[in-house]
Amino acid sequence: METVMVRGLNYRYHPGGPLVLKDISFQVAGGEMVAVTGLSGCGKSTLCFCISGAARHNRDGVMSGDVLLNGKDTRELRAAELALEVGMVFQDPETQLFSPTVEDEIAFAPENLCLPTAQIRERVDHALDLLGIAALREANPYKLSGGEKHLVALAAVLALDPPVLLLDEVMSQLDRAGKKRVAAALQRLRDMGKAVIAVEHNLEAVSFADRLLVMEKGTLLCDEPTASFLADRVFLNTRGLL
Amino acid sequence: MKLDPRAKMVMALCLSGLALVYNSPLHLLLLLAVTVALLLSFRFELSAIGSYLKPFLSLMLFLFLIQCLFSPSGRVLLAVGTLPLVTTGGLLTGAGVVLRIVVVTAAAMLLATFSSRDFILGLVQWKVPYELAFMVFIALRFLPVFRDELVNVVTAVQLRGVDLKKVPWGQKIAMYSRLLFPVIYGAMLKAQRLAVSMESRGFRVYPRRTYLRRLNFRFVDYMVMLVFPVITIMLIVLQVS
Ligand SMILES: Nc1ncnc2c1ncn2[C@@H]1O[C@H](COP(=O)(O)OP(=O)(O)OP(=O)(O)O)[C@@H](O)[C@H]1O
Ligand SMILES: [Mg+2]
Repeated sequence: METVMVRGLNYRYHPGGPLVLKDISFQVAGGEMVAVTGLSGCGKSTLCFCISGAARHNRDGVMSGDVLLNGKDTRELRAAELALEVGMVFQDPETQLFSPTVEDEIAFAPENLCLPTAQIRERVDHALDLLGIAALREANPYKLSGGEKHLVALAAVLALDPPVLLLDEVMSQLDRAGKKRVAAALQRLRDMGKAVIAVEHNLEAVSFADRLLVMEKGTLLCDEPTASFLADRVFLNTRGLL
Repeated sequence: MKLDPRAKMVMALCLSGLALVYNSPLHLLLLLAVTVALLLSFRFELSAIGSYLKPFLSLMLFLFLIQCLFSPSGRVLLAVGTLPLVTTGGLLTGAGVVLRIVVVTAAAMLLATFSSRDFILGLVQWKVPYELAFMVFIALRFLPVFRDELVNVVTAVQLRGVDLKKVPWGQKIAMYSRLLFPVIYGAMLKAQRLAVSMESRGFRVYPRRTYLRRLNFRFVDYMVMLVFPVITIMLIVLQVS
């Protein structure tokens, strides 16, 4: 069974508004990583919102088609129950950090899962180490740089340890070392059997993904193995993706 | 001195309670002295009180003048004809009102001497539902952000060459309400996104949650929580009778 199954997904932000996602279908298996790319405004973030279930907070939004996570229909899960299936790092790190220290921020998810203290500590330490931000442990997330905020937001989701991970342009503001660490972390998560979906503008940063999905104006233009795709520079060029 | 946040909450409650009961500037000054001494013992930067009170300076002055003028008693210091303007009693009442605001603010600063995480832990360990504790925490957390945004908007207006000091009051109110709208809208949007993010990390997935840390009362905390309320009640009874 595929871990993430998207079937005929359509989405508009308002009834009668433009279709932001048009008939999108694809699947991601556990232990697989796909990268999603496309020009600004093509609907990448909207796709993430739909898969993570965050889209249903928009009461005006109209969604049709199916999103199944581990075979469960996202429409039948409570908002908080969805958190057990999927973790998402939002594009804007500003509105997902609220704790007084980085450590508290990362502990938030495992605390919600009612884990015993020792396990919470373990997850916090592990997430901090994995992303190389142990030095920020006592820092105030609000006062970090953009890239650091992204790393903390990612660490906070990693501590949730969901089977599906959605990352919306987490690497865009990172320096080379940061990108490398995130890439290594994602590869490790993939090896652990997680399904990873990473939205990224910079294709070099996610060249290790198994497949690449290209979106254009709300449609899924293609879904191909990354290697063959990156070789086709003519295609990438004509689509303005290089 | 290190104290449990719950002990500090009790302190703040007692001190502001007393401030509301006392009227005389002498009592209030004593109360202020106690509060400041406590703040200093928690290594609190006193200048922060000033910056909190600054926006209320004109309000305090206004209250002072009102009290001065409208509660005349005692010796008349300044009069227009037979109408007493400044009296010793009026001055004392005015000073009392202003001091009361200062004491309550200073007492509230006791709550700023521990981290907001400890605030949540304190409330939760006192059996306050964690949803409620987080709600209060988030509100307190984003109040300064909200204020900063308001300042930003006002600055943006001034940068466009509008001198707010020269705008007449009627127009100013209309303008502020128009400026306020985007700020409130922005804050609501931010709050909604934050709620989505919290929920997507499992907030409220179970009726209970665990915590990385735990607060533990020590002997001093018990003493503070015993002594402060007892003295406060005694003083209030004395004052009222
Ligand atoms: N809250 C909203 N209400 C209405 N329309 C929206 C909303 N958010 C996004 N849109 C519209 O949906 C379309 C897709 O936006 P989306 O944010 O998904 O793009 P994106 O691919 O993530 O872009 P970027 O690369 O800049 O992040 C855009 O045309 C945008 O104007
Ligand atoms: Mg986006």
